[in-house]
Amino acid sequence: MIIRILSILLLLTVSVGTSAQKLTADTPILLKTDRSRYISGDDALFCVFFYDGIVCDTMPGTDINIDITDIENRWITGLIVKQIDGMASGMLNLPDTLQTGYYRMRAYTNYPNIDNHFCCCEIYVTNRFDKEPRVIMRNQKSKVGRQSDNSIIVIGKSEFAAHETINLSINCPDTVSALVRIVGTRQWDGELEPVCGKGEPYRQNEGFTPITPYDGILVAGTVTDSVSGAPIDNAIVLVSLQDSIIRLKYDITDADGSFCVLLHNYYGLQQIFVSAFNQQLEPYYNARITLRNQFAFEFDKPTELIREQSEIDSLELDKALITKAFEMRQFEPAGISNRPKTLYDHFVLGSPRQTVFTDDYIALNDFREITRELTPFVRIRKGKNGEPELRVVSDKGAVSANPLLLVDGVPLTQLKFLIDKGSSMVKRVDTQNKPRNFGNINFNNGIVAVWTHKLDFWEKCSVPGTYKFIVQGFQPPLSTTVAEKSKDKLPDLRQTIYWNPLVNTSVQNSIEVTLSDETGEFVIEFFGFDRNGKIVSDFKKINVR
Amino acid sequence: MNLALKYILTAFCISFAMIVDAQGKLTKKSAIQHITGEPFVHYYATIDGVPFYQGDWLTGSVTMKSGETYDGLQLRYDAFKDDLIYQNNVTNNVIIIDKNSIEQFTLTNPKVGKVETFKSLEHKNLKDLSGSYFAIILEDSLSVLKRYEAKEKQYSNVNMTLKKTGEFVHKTYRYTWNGIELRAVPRFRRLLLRQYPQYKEDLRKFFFHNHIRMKNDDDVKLLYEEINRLLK
Repeated sequence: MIIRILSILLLLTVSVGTSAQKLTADTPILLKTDRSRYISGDDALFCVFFYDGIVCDTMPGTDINIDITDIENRWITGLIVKQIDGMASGMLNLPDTLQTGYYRMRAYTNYPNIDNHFCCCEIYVTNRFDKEPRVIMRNQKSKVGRQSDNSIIVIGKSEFAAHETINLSINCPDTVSALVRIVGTRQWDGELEPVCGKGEPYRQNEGFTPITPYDGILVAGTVTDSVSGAPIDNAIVLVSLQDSIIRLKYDITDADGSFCVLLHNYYGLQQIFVSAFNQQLEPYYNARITLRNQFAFEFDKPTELIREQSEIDSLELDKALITKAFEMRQFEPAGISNRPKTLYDHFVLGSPRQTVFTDDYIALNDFREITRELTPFVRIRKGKNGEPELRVVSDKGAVSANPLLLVDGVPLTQLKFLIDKGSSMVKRVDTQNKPRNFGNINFNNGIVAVWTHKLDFWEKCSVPGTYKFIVQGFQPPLSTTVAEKSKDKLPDLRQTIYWNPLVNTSVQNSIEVTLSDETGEFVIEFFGFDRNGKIVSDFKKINVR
Repeated sequence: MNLALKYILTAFCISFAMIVDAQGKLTKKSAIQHITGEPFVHYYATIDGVPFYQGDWLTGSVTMKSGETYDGLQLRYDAFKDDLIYQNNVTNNVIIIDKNSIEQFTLTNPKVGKVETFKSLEHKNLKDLSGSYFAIILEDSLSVLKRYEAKEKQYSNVNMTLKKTGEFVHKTYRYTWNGIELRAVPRFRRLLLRQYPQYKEDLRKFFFHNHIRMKNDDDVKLLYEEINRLLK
């Protein structure tokens, strides 16, 4: 009996282990966009499917990087989305400044220690201000047929009136997750087959171990000696943001110089400052800090290219202009569940011993004068190497050299960059003359925090040893919905009539869609995967009069 | 042991270890903590006894206002200064954690194995107690709080050899808090019944059926759960 139970347990364990491996190692991805042609400034809706014989459930660590590059692989914009139930979807804004031409939208994974997957599709962007569109290059690959043998989409008729509500019946109970959309035939015909694969092009991040799951921005990188290139072990890495309050995080580097900081609850684009110190909190001036940023590497997939003249579609332009003029977004996020109410800060400074507002006093020319006249607990003296040095005086008169100096919340490693700044720039000086503890690091010499009037010190100043990075968090979960027809009788010119990347046909077998003001020929597309990982797709053409 | 049984057990252990290892690859290295505070320097050398809750280091957790929770910390609640003290085993520093950074903390009483949750309450009606730590017995519209205090009882004759001026005396107080008013929990049943004359009969029956003793925390919790129910 015991043997039988143990055998079952053994089989169960082995089968769990095998399936987990298969999910992470062999699951490729497929990218779909709502349209093939956009106007610069539009929102491009996208969804990414995972498939590999089995549609995966929730797989840890499968964040998807989505970005856009031009045809010469120059990076333009991007974001990160989380995979939920084998699918990731979101919205990417195409910058207004994009020139007319073809662009690549790329979706790729960034797993630790395993092959990365990618999928790349080309989109055409029209800029309404481009008078002389340049000659562009495009990847020529025809779209493969997608019509299913069995009719999945069932509609009673093929002719509809504008604003009419269509009731779509979906006859595919086995599909786990699917995309349903309605787009113009012109958009549909212009689509190209995406290029997908897995392997080396993205294998840039070995040894990188992300937290899974996490909410926020993971800042991971390495600290090396800029001369010898050797990793710096046991260095304190301070990550901060320029802000009116101190937002400081830290990590201590491993033997390979790597560090990892989570900016919990941060999302979107963030500018961060990273600097490295030794255990005595003396800055490493020769440290080189590099981030394993998700978008910081090259992508080059060889494709067959031909030359083609670009075009401007005046109808598309007019629609886009009207939509923008009436501030009508085609699709709105229907609720962001995990948007943080507040970004937290740590009480690194504690209760400052003294706070001085320079505006309360006469104007002083430089920071040396400010410390001499206004801040009795802060002094500037000449250091050992002849450079000015900051000192803090405790309540009992003890003097400590080199306190942590923060300017606009960012550690400043060299005082000479601040010393010429007077009351016209310095707004406030906070002094903490007691030792402070921050996690596993000790600021035994106190802390001096300086704030400028415009919080712009770091925009005007570039300090060696302090690295500026722009990092990105996950796009907050979006659920896109069809905009309701305006009550103010504004024109309804949805360029994608309907977009729903999260259709579970085992639960939902009908969809109700109201058409827009637009007339012409449209395509209703159904695209998804069944439980065996097989693509299930169908499309129907309709006429709107 | 049967050979087949041995074989299966070994195979089971190996396969289990492989799965655990695979999971480990996807988790981050140990989370780094961001507790802020000042070094602890007061050792109360002139007062006999200890001002700490339960006297010794206790295992507990701290939830910061930023949302981070750190478990398995060595903590002491200083009931004399109303401070939470933390021993950082990495740096070997003893730190008074910033009170305004703490959302709540828990301490495990080793004698009874009971976990007590402490929160700092701030309200102008709390006067001198505003910002102090209270142990939470019941959290509801009418909450029941417990306050631990250590006070110095001064000796009439100071021992000049040992230079001791007094000794720590520990006291506990129970309060009810409705978000506006802090009231002491009555020490006797009859005093409580006077506070709620409209529910006198209900509460009397409740006392009788549940054998409520006003000195027992669990009984007080049960009693105020009933009062909250009646008040709703």
